[in-house]
Amino acid sequence: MIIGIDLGGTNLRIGAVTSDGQLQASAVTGSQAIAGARDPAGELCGIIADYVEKNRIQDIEAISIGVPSSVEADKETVICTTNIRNRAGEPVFCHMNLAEKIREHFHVPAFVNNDVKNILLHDIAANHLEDQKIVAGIYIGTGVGASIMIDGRLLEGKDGAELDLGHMPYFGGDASCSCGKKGCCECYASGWRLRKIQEEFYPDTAIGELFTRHREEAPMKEFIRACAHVYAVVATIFNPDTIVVGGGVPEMADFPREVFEREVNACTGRDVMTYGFDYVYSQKHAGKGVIGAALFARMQMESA
Amino acid sequence: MAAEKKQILTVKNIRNVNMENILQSMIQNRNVTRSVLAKENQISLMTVKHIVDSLLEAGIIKEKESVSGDVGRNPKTLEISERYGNVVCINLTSREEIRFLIYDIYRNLITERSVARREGSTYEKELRVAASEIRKELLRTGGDLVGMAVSVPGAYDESQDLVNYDLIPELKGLHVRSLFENMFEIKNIRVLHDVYAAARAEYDCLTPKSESQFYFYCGYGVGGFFIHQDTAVTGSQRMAGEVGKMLVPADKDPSGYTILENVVSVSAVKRRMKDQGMDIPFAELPGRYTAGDAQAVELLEPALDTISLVLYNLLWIYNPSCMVVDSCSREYAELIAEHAGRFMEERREESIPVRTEIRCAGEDEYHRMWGCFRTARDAWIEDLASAL
Repeated sequence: MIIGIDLGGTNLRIGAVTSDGQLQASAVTGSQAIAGARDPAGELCGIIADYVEKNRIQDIEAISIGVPSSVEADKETVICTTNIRNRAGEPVFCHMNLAEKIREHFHVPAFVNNDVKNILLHDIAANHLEDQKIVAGIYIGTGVGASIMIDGRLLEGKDGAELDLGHMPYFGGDASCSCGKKGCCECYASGWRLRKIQEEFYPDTAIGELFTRHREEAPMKEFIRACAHVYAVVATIFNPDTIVVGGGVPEMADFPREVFEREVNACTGRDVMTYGFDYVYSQKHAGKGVIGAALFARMQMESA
Repeated sequence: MAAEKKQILTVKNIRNVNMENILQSMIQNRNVTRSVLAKENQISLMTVKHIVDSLLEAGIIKEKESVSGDVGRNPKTLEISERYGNVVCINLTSREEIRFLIYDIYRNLITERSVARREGSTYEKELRVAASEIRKELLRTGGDLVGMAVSVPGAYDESQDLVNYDLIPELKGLHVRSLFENMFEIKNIRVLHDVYAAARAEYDCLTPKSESQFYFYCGYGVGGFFIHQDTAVTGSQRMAGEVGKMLVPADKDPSGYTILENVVSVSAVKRRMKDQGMDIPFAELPGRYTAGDAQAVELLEPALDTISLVLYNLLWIYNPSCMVVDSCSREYAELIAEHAGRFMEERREESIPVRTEIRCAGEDEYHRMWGCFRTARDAWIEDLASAL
């Protein structure tokens, strides 16, 4: 049994994952408990210990956590959780070796990975894409996250900061981003941008109904086009077998898949489009980050 | 389960891997002893003995007494048989000529020549002329031809044996590999995208090897290639890295976008030079830009800004240890590297800084063709090991 944890900006999900990838005893708690704690890593260990005791989990092989941050190449150290901040507004985990803290507390192997990478691992397993050469997953939620599996291995940058697509400069864009830069992709293709569109153009429509009611209108079409560009860049330079489309935005009701795919195809390089690629849509499943974390731990242990 | 793929190891393929490693060691270190082979490859002396016996029996390697002044029996050294002579690398990336380089298996350059294309003749005929010149050179140098690598200016579809490249139309319909197979009667012929070959060569030139490298080429075509932990990211159909086909904004295009190649390639810049009545060779343009010539600045600045932004975007995607810039014009490559370096430096203080080393590619074709050479030689070694 591997304990998988998915630490998000709002919730922390935890579960026990069997060797065949089945999630058991799933639980959820607010991330604020960690963000507000004097010792966030200690609080996290406390949450895990309570969960293990309450659910009488035995024979723990490893503990694996997905975090909304880049992770250093050691797969132990969180670089910076910009979306989880304490009361003083500081990122809760910044260059912290979280795996070491967990390992010292529980005396089992511990792993830390970027949450989106874990979700892609889940989606690959759930859609039986393990044997494909290149699988690219792009997840548009509040921000933009991405991960790429090449020949069964996740792409890793020199310092863990690869595929930060949300903060690539968007051509011709100069909107201010929450990161302090200007013109980041997230300013044009993200849940954050969708919220702005709603406030500006459709204040009377609930955000969950935006595609249902307004998908044929210019602001929404422009938004879809911006999202498509992000996917097209990745398709053009990686020539994937499959693109996994996921995150809160594509999982919204009546997300216009056909229009979106048409836009991606039109913006993708001609050579890649000679062969094309498949689209797979990530299914709504609250536990996928937890299962993905466990899959990552298993992958690390098998390759050790 | 998305577990990391592992090669299924059988006794046969463990032996093949050990044999390949031994042959590679013998190439790196001529006249090597069995004990050195065992130590270098971290295998037992007994395993080395079995493999070496097979290689000796097949005549692939030979044994010699080492010349040593030490007292006592001299150890016997091993080397690859002299009959294994050459690797030919052919460059089909120019419209004007067909170049070829002949190396020995130790990467020493034996011959470097080019055959000018004649007007009115078909590309296939010109290839046959070049092939006949190569044959003459091979006869002169002696030894068996062990492999060939053909560098082509576009993505190569191995299943169809076709090159996807518009600028030399006749090349597009030509089955390059089977043509050379018939002409040279060998199977070890590798057709490689020139960008891949150059990227590989740049990566292999570095000591110690970089963790990852993005190679960017901006000549008449525009392309790129990413090598990650010694593995080239080729894509599912070997089309990865086609950065020249990425969309960038274009005011004049009705869609508002065009492909990068149409803005920054040498041909695109030359087209704009012609439109503006600038009647100088392209090679002079970077110099004029550096000197502050207003027209040159107006012509080149948009291209350099666009390239810098694209490279900066790619930095966010790949997060590579280094970026290498290359072009058919050395001056253009230097300008691009300098401009992009400055662009990245200006963003050094941003809240999420991402940086990399950016440099120009090596200059000469001898080094550029290393990637081709290595691919053909490695394939030969692999074939030798699996045949025994």
